[in-house]
Amino acid sequence: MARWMSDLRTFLNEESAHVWRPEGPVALVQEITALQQALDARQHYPVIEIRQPKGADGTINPISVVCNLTASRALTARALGVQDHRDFAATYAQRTANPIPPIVVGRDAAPVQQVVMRGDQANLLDLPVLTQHALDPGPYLTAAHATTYDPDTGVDNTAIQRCWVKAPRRMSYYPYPASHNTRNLRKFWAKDEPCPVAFWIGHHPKVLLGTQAKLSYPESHWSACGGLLGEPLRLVPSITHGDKIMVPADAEIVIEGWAPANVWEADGPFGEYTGYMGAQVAAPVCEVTCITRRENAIYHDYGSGHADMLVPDNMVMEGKIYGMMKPIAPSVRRVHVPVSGRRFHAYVSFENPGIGEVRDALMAALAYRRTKAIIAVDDDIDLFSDSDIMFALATRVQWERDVITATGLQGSLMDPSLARGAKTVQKAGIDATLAPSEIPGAPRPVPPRNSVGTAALDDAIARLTGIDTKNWPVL
Amino acid sequence: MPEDHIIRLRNHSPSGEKRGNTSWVQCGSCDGWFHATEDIVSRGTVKLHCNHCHTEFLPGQARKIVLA
Repeated sequence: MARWMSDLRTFLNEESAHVWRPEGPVALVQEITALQQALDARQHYPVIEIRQPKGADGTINPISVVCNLTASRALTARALGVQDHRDFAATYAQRTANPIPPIVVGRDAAPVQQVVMRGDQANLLDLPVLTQHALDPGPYLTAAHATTYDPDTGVDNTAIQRCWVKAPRRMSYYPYPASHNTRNLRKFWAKDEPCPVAFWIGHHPKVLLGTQAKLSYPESHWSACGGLLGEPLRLVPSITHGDKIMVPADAEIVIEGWAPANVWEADGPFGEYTGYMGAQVAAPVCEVTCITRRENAIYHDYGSGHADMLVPDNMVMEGKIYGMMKPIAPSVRRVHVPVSGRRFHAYVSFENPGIGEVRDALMAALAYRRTKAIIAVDDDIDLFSDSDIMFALATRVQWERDVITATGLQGSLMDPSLARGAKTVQKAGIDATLAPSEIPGAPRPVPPRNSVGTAALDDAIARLTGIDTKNWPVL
Repeated sequence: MPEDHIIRLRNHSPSGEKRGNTSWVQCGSCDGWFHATEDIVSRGTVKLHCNHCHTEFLPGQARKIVLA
């Protein structure tokens, strides 16, 4: 069958030099995630393909597992054609602001429907689903994109939702209470109707990042995906829900079903992006009606709380923050949402900001639900060095003057530091820029940085090149 | 010391805006700027040393002084 557009396979081929395929079986229970945890600690981020995923019963699943797909900032940016990952935010903001509507193809042109398993033929336990962490209660889909629709308008929504596989055709899933998928679910349930849903797995990072675009409600993500692809996303009607719920024709696997009205089950605890276990919650369930997939499907997993999942999420946040700040603060240059801050911190650089511009920008971005602290710095600070950020905080901030705090704002309720019973969070914007110039033609009334000269530094770097340093102390 | 080449920055900070705290001297020989404390400038009798061209001069001989 002719391939029409970018998909997971084209990305794996594009980045084949950066794919690591460990020899032999690797267990779905913790062992694959352990590889990711160990690689994160080394700050190495290859894509990982497990060709012999071993189930809890010792059998080898014939479906390969791909993870760490987006653990590398460099690879993730390159997937969008951005050669320097530091420039990702501006590109993402620009492309998602120029959406391209999807097109619909027939089943014969949809690789994801090459294999169709309905009713009792459908079995979630046939998929190589990982149990990632020691305290997770069971196997979870972590790269399942749940597509639902608003019954009032018919407009669909897509978001990643964790799914706990509990039985061959039953799983709980957890749409965050403030999410658009929860709004859709509640609208169906208010009429005592089950909520139709389809979960699709595996696609090119351009599509995965498009589904994470932060949009208004109701607004479909498909056009944002098209904006990132530079061409229409190919959709196919789902087997169960027809054209009410379309799924990407070039995905790897689709799980279709219904969330029965007002049925709640325990879900979690689950290893979360915060780096802690999220508490057990009441969650809807999906009763599976059909599973479709490619003939030689690849299963995609995101390592929850690891770079694999934080990096793409955070890079999308960078685009969102850039888009919020730039119209009111033209001096914004770059945005970085660092893995070290999970999703809570954002660093933003400014080039010669005008009086008040930095604080205006901080106020704008604090309204973004996901942020907790935003640190503004001058463009001599390397946004991708936590050490540089600490230098700016140490030498450019007087706390009372330069910190904007706000309470009672929407934010993550998974933050372990929240006040007991709190439903909102406290946020801070920190202006860690140097004071501006006051006299034309005179230096800014701040001290110059101390450093050796460029020539001396270049010479030093040349002297150090090629030296065996493995026995030198690093701390 | 003649005052016409000295600019004193205002300390008033409306709305808590950031104000720098660093004073600068412009060398009369090379026009380079270096930063110095207000104390050494205000003494008037201690020669300043330009770290660009190494000329020594009294504050009154500076091209310009900006006091924060």
